[in-house]
Amino acid sequence: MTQGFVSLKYFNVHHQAAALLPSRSLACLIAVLCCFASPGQAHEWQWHGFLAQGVIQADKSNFINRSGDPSLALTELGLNGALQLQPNWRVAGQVVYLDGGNRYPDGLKLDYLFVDWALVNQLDWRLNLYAGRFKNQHWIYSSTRDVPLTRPSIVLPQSVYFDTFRDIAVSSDGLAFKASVDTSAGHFEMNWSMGATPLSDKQTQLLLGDQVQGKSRQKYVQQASVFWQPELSNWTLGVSLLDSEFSYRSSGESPFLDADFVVQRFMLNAQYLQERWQLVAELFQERMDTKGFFAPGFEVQQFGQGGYLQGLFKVSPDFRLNATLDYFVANKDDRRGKQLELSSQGTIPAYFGYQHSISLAASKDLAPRVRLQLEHHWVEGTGRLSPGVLPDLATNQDRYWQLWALQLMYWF
Amino acid sequence: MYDRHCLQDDKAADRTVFSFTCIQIQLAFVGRWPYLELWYRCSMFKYFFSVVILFVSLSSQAVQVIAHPTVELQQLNPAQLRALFSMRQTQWPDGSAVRVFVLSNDHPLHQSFCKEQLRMFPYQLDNIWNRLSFSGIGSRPYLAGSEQELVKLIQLTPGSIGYRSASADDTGVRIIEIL
Repeated sequence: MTQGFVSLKYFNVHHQAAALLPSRSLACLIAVLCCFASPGQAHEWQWHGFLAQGVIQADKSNFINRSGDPSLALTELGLNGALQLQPNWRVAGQVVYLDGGNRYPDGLKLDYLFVDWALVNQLDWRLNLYAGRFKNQHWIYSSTRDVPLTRPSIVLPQSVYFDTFRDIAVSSDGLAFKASVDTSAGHFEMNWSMGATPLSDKQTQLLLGDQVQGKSRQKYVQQASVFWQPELSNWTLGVSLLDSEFSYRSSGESPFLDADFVVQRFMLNAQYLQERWQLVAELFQERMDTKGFFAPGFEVQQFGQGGYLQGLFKVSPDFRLNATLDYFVANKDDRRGKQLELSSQGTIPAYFGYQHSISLAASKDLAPRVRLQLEHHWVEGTGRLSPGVLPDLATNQDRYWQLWALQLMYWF
Repeated sequence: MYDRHCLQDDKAADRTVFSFTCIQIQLAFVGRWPYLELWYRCSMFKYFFSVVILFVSLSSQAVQVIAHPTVELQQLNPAQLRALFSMRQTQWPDGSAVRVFVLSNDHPLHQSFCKEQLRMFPYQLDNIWNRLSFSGIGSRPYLAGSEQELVKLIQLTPGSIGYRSASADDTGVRIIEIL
């Protein structure tokens, strides 16, 4: 009846959920919830997925690889399922396999697996509680940044959607609430979440530097956001806040010391929709506080700023164009990176202090669920290339670099 | 000076549009053009034209929201309707599950329904469904292959809601009035 949908199908959730569980406590929680579903009761089950493969090249930078050669490291596969146990109880999960080269750790990942409890489900307002590993719902593209069909471009604006932070920013293990309210002033959506993301060694190296051999841990991340769509308006406006702490514990032979990092972000977003075109913008200021790492008692605090403006134009129902301006400075008091170069005695070039880009993208639907996407980025600066703390000076020797990518995707 | 130029430009543009329209009409009514020109220049024609436009726009409200007869609601406001079709509202006030049925994005009836009743663009709704289904916090609606199939599914499925052409027959479904 429906594409990719199996209607009113009996499904043994115990076995399926157990295969995907990230922790014993989550296993217990989901097993208890599954008991809510009485044996023999028909449950609604939906599943969807996507497959995407592309070719990408970022010459003169380590964005994809160190050689700058064209690469096939643009693979995104995902399979998800959701089971409605009761009208107000659901379980949903997704596994993904990602290979983005140097952009983020590759491999099979449990993207999300959570229990969704609809605490209030009335015609004018709704409140949901999510427990488990849930996606970040606080930014415009954050919840589906790894789902190719939902993105306006293959590589999202790096100021906001910094790929090195992908694993940390995309999902968290913990609790989240979502409230959705309709009033005479329009539609409001409010989100709050508290949790943490386990960090792999590869993620630690991408964040801090290849020479780092210790372990890092996200202590917590707390986020809140509000989106408002005024009644009968084409605008949607939003604001989001993020507060997070990380710790780094060095290993015996590592030259770097134990450290604590605080990251806080304040972000505004706006979307204006028309039938054939739309404008999207997100602007943020981010505080990063570093204690330790380089020397005992070392402490530095800096405020980064960034944002993007994106114009999307639908030429025909199956052909879209997109132009994006992206802006990022690591330190708002040093927008051209001169202090960075001076303080490092010329070791770190000034262009590591910022990254601005212009990009053009086109996407064409070749069949109802098959899309081809092509894009080119012209970039100045290397401030959003990994690693974040100890930059790759050997590879990123050019202030100006370019990126192009072509990706074919299918979804169901 | 500048303003006068603008006014003159506006008048010139009006004349161009009028001439272009005249050519099109002329092509359609060869030989009767002088009468049509006279008719257009008569102010009464403009009022008549406005009435025709109004009538056409009213008659284009040709989509009705329908539900299974067990759904007890008689009326919904546009925000409540948007919450249901955006898949945010998943339960009826009596606690039973909402089952939403739609036609494909490119179906003219779906497009009319989105614009007239939901006051949204079809792609906007599709983006919301993708975001819900690929981040796990919601599901996509059920997709029907044709209007007839959609109505049949509504008749057969308790808790269902969908839409159809206003001219269709009333049997076996509840018509929901949109305020």
